[in-house]
Amino acid sequence: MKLGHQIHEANCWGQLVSIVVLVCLIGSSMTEVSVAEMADPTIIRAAKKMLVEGTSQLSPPALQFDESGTLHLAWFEKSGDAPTLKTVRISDGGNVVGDTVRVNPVGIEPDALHQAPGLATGMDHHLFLTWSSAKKDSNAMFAADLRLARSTDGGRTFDAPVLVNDDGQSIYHSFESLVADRQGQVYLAWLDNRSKEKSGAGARFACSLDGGKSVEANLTIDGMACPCCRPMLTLAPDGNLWAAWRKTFEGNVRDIVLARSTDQGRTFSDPIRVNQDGWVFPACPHRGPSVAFDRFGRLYIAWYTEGTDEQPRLLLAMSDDGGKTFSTPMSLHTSATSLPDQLRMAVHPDGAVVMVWEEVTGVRKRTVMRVSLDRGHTFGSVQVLSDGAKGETPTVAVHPSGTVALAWSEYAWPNNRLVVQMGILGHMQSQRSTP
Amino acid sequence: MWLCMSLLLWGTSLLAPQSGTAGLHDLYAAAGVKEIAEPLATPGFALTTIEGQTIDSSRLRGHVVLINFWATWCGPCKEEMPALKRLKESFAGSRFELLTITTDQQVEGIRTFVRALGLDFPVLLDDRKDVSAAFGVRGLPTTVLIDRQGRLVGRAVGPRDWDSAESVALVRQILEGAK
Repeated sequence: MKLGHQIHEANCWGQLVSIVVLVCLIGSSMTEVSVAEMADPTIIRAAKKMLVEGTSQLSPPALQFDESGTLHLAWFEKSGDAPTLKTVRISDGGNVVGDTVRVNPVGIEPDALHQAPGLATGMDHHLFLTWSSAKKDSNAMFAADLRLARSTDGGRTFDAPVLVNDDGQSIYHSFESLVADRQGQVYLAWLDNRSKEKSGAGARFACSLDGGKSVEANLTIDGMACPCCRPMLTLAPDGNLWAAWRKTFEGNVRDIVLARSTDQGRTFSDPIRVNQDGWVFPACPHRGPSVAFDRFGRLYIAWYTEGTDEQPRLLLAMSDDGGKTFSTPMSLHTSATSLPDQLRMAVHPDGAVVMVWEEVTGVRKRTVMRVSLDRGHTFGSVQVLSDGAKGETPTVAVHPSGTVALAWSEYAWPNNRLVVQMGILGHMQSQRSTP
Repeated sequence: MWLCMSLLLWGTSLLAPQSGTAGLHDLYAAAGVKEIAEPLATPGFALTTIEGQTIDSSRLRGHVVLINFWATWCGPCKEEMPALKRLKESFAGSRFELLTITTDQQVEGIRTFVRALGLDFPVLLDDRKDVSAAFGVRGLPTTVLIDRQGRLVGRAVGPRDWDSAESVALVRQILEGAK
């Protein structure tokens, strides 16, 4: 895999889209509103950088800024028998800083590539990465333990990983999310089915009180979570911890819920249902929610649902009263000629909202973005991020300075790529130079 | 073009059945399989199995084919595998084929799983997700039924009791060309 190769801007979208698809997409019975659209560009973007390219198999990327503004990119890569977890630092200008670092020790390899690694940044150059590694047990297949590794030098080196799950069971522990607070605590949420005999999973939680050196006892947030939809944790400006996940309700309804912890993860509230989507789906959607706060305390939550009419849609709702009430969900994907998927969101402290997702038509899959500079009231038009016919699994991070980092996967035979693009929120452009 | 076809198939699957015998309709319902009102030709594919053998869908014509889309990280998918195995055994020697397709890249783990469960049907690797997309797979497990004319006639999202009397009867009916 080579690093630092710059992509030439070359869109080649010229294919026709099947009109028949429209028939499947038009119409909606859910209560939602379309997003009002802004006319002006919302992010000034620099050139795309192809940071990883080669025939190795790659997972979706994970992105986070640290407090200094250095971007950290992490991914799983498989070129031989066992995948490895890798990370690299990226400067404000989008250039790779230093070497690519292998995170997992030999023998504790990641078990799969279907999702991005868990990634969080903390204070004082701390970086935290999580992954599932196969648990050797001849009586259980695909059992995996959840691992947490920390770096105290900004991602240059990593300590030996610690075990997150405390149940000792030979089951699958995965679909994790983590976040670090300013006091050095690391919070983790994930899914496992330790209390289930059959399908289903529990949303579990654990905390590290010592900056990732060890992990406390596990806690169950919800015993009936959707088994393959990644939960997400976030911190509110008041210090409260929030978890968002897709819950399995009676009748296999898979709607999004939130829970709040006001005591640093010792207890969580009962699940708060964000919206009555009523999506009945007795399977694995593999599509978790995305949640964030701005500095004024507004909660933003975005998710995928097919509602009661089997129509894929991406929704965004906001709450200004700590989850007591939510705004009427806004539908972000307004195209009638494509299907949306794999939504991710990042929110600037001032309330700029950056949404990225996959847009799928009959002839291609691409990554797109919409941005709101006014706390989610209006959104700019859809901007295409990826080149080629196969761009997928986008993600986004926003730094308080206004720098935005976008990343996604692309496939162009015979190579897999991870692409990163830096940018600046439009309204902050006047305060600094273009990246 | 596969994906275009899949979206077409998906859209079609939303329509209510308009043809076929009442008995067959009942069997679809009893087996928990959505009957596709106006069956369309399935997208063609050629994929490699975990054993390195290439399977071309054109060679399946004339068979009733059940394709199960799954992944190792999907608990419900793994749980229904033994039932799929028993379904396959129920039709030994007939023109019934059962394939599974996965976008998973844990080939060695899948081999171990297949051996441990004694699965005797092919596991095809769809690492580019093209075939899964072509069949409109948006969640796992998803299972499709294809008739002897190569038309997609049924679809189930989520695990099913594939070895139930109703599922066996449904496959038998399709095999016997009731539709």
